[in-house]
Amino acid sequence: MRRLSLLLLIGLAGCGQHRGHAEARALIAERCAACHVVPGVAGANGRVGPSLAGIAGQQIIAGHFVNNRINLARWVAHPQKSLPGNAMPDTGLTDRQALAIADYLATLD
Amino acid sequence: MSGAPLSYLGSAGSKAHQVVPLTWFALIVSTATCLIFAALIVAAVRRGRAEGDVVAAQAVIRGGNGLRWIFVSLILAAVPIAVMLVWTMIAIARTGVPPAHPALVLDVTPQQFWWRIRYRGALPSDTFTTANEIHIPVGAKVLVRLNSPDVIHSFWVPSLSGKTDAIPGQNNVTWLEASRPGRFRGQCAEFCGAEHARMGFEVVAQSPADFEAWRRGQLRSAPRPVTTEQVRGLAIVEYRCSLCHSVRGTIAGAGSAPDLTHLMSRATIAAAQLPNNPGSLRGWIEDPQARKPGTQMPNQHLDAAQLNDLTAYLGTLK
Ligand code: HEC
Ligand SMILES: [Cu+2]
Repeated sequence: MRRLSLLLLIGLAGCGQHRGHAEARALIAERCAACHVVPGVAGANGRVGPSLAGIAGQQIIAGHFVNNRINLARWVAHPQKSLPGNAMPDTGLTDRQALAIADYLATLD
Repeated sequence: MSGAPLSYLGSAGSKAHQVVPLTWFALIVSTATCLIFAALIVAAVRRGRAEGDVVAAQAVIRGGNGLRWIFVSLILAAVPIAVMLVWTMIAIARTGVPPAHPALVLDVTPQQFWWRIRYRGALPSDTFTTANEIHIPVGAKVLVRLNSPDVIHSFWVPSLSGKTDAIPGQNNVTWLEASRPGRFRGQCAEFCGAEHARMGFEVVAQSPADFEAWRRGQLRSAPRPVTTEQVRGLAIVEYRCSLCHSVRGTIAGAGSAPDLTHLMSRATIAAAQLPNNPGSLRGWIEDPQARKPGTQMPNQHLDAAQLNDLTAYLGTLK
């Protein structure tokens, strides 16, 4: 029994890493997965843009902006307004959705 | 359970209405049989134990009730099997024969790794081609003619109809009739190559009025580009994508890939693998091999400006 609960604990810890953020991960799977590798999101294996693994530790995003919650959310929702002509299309995300995604990305260190 | 996209335990059309109750019957009877046998075996083992430790090999006792038990259980087993046999024959008779006077005839051509759908009209001007999304009017009997240009595929929409193979050089037919509006997932059900698992499609059942509006929309050619980005985007489509794709009303007229004339009217792309939105559209076009390694569309190696122009134009293909 003790061994069983130990196994269970290890298992839980394993999934715990990316638990929560359900809405953000669903949005990422739908809107970002075709271009980016995003750890913790099934099917997010695109190779068009950069991998987002470790993005929480990155200082500058998109080569231009300081990496903080607001800049990240703005970039995610309106990349063309932020940096006209870059390859990433506007995603049609609402501000609230973009913030949810920024919060998830902040866990990828 | 019937909420899962490919669940065969719920039905939304006249063929599935015939088959699903039979599936449930078979499922319940066979589960019950397993449980009863498991219980009998457990009971027998327990009784043997209760009678004491290993007894020296016993002589077979004849004249007991053994044979009678066998006959009784044979008869018990024969009843549900006979019921299933008759029921199955009735279901086959009701679903197997395609309608003599279908309201709609579709030529569906699965190929590695997507589905071409051709709507046959009375006139050539009423005929059009689309991909991966089959629209049908609720309550209409739709004849589906299947053929394959490469290898064997199989057409399967569990909530509407069972599987029918598409075989190179052979014309197979099946039919659909939806009893309620909805979006029903279909899937290639015969292994056909590397991306077989990612070869889905959707059947959209609509009210007759909605279907007619959709059909009229699909008959239109692509609008002319307006902005300068759209003009440049069309140029990319015409000199690159036209190798394989067609956009009616432009010089892109090839037939080896999904028709893009009304791309934006579809909910998914890449054979129901990605939701149709700007992100997945660009990701797919730039690097289809990341999503479906081995699919017939090569990576496009476009730069950011070209991608922006291209998606500005594709966005007009409503
Ligand atoms: C060598 C042939 C070829 C070329 C060139 C090509 N494609 Fe494709 N394309 C395909 C094939 C084949 C598919 C279907 C792939 C699948 O779903 O497995 C496809 C699928 C697509 C789809 C998804 C359509 C749908 O409804 O599912 C889009 C969008 C698309 N291509 C856009 C383009 C654009 C834009 C270009 C030009 C920049 C292009 N393709 C160039 C062969 C090609
Ligand atoms: Cu297949």
